[in-house]
Amino acid sequence: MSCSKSSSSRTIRRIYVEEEAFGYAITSKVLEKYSDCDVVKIKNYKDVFNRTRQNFILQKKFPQLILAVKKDSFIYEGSAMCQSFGHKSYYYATLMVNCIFDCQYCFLQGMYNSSYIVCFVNVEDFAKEFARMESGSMVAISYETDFIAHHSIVPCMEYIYDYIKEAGWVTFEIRTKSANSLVLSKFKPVDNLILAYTLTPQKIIDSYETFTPNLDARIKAVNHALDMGFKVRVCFDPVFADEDYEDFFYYVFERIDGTRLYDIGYGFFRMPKEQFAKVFRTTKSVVFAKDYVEEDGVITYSEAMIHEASKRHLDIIGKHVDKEKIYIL
Amino acid sequence: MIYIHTALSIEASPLIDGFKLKKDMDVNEFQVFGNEDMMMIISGVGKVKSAMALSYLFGKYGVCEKDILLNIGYCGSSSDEVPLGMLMLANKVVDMDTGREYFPDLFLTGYRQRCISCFSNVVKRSTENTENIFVDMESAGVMEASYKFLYPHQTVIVKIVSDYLDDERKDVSFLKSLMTENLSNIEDIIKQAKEIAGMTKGLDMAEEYAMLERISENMRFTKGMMNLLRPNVRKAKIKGYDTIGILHGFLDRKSSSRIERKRVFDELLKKLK
Ligand code: SF4
Repeated sequence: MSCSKSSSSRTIRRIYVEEEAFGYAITSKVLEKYSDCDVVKIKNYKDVFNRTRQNFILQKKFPQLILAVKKDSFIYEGSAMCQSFGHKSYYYATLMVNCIFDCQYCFLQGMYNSSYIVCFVNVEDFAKEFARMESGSMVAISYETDFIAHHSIVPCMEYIYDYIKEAGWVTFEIRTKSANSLVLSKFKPVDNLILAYTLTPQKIIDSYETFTPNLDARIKAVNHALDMGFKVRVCFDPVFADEDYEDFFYYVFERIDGTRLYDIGYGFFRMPKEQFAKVFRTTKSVVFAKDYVEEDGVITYSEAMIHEASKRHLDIIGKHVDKEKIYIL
Repeated sequence: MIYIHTALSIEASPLIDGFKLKKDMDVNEFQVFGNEDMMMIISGVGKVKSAMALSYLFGKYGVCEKDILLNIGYCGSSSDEVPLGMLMLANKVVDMDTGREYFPDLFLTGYRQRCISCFSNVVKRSTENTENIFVDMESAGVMEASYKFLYPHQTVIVKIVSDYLDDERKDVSFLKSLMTENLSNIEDIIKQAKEIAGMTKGLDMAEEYAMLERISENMRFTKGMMNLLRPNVRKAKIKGYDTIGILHGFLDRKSSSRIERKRVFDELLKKLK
């Protein structure tokens, strides 16, 4: 990913910068790196991000970056649709919003008006909130984005890593589909940081994901992170109950030693009803044409399908990973 | 449809000649010119007139996702280091009366992109500060209408530098030449904008929904039944089913009773699943 005036649409050509954001280190670093980009000064990121009638799908083809200062709500409580992985309280922080990858099933579509990538540059204000958190909490800091995948655009990890180390009583999760192991070489593993890799069958990657690394590359990244000493979580989420996963699970655990994993996340495709309806109006993706049911305002697979598929899947996963380490949603 | 907005006849006339547009004699409220795929309106000077003209145009002719809107006009530059005739596209428009900022989603390549400051009055360089700004009197009105009717990627604000905010009067032929010299750029901008708007093409359900309505009239489907059928037709089309063929088989069915209606409804739903 580069900032360029070339005709390739997958380049960030424009960076919107909030007036207030100019004074921050991340902003200077990004603007220095992308000095040939079109920089547009803005008063408030919402003037760009919250415009009505934006085309989320088209904007994915022409990603742009917004650098802004977050004023409040640095941490949100995780919803019932998120996994807490046994932590007594689960939160997420949106240092960045939106993602350079393009997954048809992504929960971010229908959630925001825009798919432009927002980076909040006042990392220290997030850190103040982390410092106030009670012991035993978990914060997903790559929740509405993919931190590691964006490292070459905005190196957030460089700015947040020391704060993670300082708040040793809080567990931080960085979820990713990126296979970029080079990023990790700059950081030492710390006890309260979990790298969570989402693994998906290659067939699903080919059918429903764009720009994400292939399965082998992700498996390699998992092993690399383990070798470096990081705590690694593997997430099988979302699982599509009507697709074939058995061979995939065998394939993964032939290549990853399950006993080295910190834990496993496992969950079926789910989306709030209103959000699903919003995406359904514009999508052409088969993901949204599957036979789901509505359960308490959430669109997902029927209980029978979930029961039947999870039994088969967990039988295989359970052979490689301690059952207590498998978190199911 | 390619919608073009200009404020002045002097801006419009090179475009009328270049694109071979004909005056629409049925429209009296504004001067409107067009051909099969282009329609141009001359609004008069100012953001209010611009917003009004575009609302008129969109209201009268309708607007869809494949349409694009270009505001083409002259702008002033506070710096005389910028050459006259330089073409730029607005990446931001500021309404200098309200301070409101507008952002077209500009995905075109190959052209300078600048912020346009939209004033209600004629601006003189001596009365403003020395910051290098580009000034016009319409763009905020165009963007206001655009935000109402279009997606932000459908609008392109094209400005050609015609003066340095000074008192020097430019003659008509010189001003026209600035526009004429940029005609090929404008053609390219239109081509790019059309391509981008074309990328958004969603699933065209018009034919299926029209057929479903006909079936519903014959069968007297309830609102609830239709609310269930519509998304299922869409899902079936996404899955690649021959939805037209399926619906065709139900076009001549008529319901004689509620039981028959329910039976046909279930049969259609089953075929779509
Ligand atoms: S990687 Fe995650 S956040 Fe990024 S597009 Fe895919 S689902 Fe969305």
